[in-house]
Amino acid sequence: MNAIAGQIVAVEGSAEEAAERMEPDITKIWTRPEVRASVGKLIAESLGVDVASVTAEAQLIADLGAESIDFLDLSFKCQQTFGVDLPMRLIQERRIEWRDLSVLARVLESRYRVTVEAEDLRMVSPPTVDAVLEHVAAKRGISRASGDGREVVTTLVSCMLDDLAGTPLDLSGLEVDRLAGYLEKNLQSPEAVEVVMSRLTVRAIDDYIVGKLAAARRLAPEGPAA
Amino acid sequence: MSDTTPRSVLVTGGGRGIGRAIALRFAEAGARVFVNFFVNREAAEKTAHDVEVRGGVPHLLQADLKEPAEIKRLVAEIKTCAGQLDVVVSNAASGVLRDGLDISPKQWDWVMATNTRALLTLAQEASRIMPSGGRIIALSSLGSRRVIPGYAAIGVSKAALEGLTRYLAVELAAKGITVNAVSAGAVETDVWQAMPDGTAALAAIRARTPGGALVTADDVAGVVYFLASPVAQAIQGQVLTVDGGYSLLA
Repeated sequence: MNAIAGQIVAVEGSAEEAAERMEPDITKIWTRPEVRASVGKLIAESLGVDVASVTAEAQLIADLGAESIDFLDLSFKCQQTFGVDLPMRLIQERRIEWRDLSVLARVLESRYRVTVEAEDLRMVSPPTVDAVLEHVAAKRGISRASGDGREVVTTLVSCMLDDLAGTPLDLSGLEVDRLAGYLEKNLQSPEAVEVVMSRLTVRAIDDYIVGKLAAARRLAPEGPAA
Repeated sequence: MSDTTPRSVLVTGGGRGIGRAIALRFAEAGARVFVNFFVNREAAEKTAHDVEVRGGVPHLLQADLKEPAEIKRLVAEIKTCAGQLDVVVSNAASGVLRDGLDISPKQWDWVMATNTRALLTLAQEASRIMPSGGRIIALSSLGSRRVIPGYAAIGVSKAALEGLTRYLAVELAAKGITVNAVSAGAVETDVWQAMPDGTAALAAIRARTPGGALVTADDVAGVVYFLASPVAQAIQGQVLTVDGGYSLLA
């Protein structure tokens, strides 16, 4: 049996069936109610909470107390159940990039056409956008204008949100100004992260799974409304 | 493949980092390599691909190793597929970076089940299909003996793993199986990127290491491969430190 690029190719008859038992069932056609019920059950199991508390609008972190190890469990269970990867590690990687200021370094490089090292930015204290701009101005000779700080954090927020597209976060209607306000005061603002992560709801995960199943043509068409 | 090459090798957590390097090392010797992974399928698929490119026969096996039933299923799959298991490399590890005083019971149980109990269950199950000359090799870390900030649960899980290595070694010696551990120093893998100031910490470790170079995943894989070889038959129940001498300094 060879396992290459997601394909399991059996070369031994009895091994084929065995191997398939360890692989998710990617032939099942799901209905939306089935997905909803399964997502609720998987979240309840992974987080160790009562399934009744897993309502559509519940936030996984703030309401259901999810933590990093729960996300690993949930990702595993989603793969096993739906054959759909829940890319929680992608969200984690993005959070690391914000925290280590590499996204900010990208924004500054693009705006001022100078080389900026994230490691260098992390040495700036306090970690505010004004202090960072002052530091880059002194080091790289960039010229600053009034309102630069706000524009930089607004661009930063846009980049951060773009980076999160395609993850199970529901970012619709997120107030960019509010996020920019947090980041203007503190580039590593925990409040900003909290606002973004509040969009990780049960409904958002349900929608994500539904979207992936639909793209793979494994979602049953919805019947006519009753 | 020579007569001394292990034919069937399981590497838990074989998709990334040190596990990946170990999987590729055995692949270069033409082994059938079972690459176990938990959630990162993409990385595991890449490793499986590279195992084949390097001359091995890859198999991908997803399993949650903190669940004994999953390990039983994993070993049963290997038995069905390969008939026997010559080498088990218990590499998969997971953890929560917190001080001991802040760790919850749930986090503690998670780490112990993944990092320590998995070796126990693996040894129980794998030894049934392991011939004389078989090898069980567990990956430990310096945190088993030294205090690393935020590493309490993982460090203790590794200390228990090293103790378990000794017990299993004695119990399995009569079957001609050796059980050893490799305690690796800091290896630059993506795990460090997830840590606050991980890059700075790695730089500090590099500066403190005699010789000034960090241990690589290939360094560790080479030692694991050596322990799996017939010449290592007399090494039993040991913990080999592979840290470039880092832990020698006071």
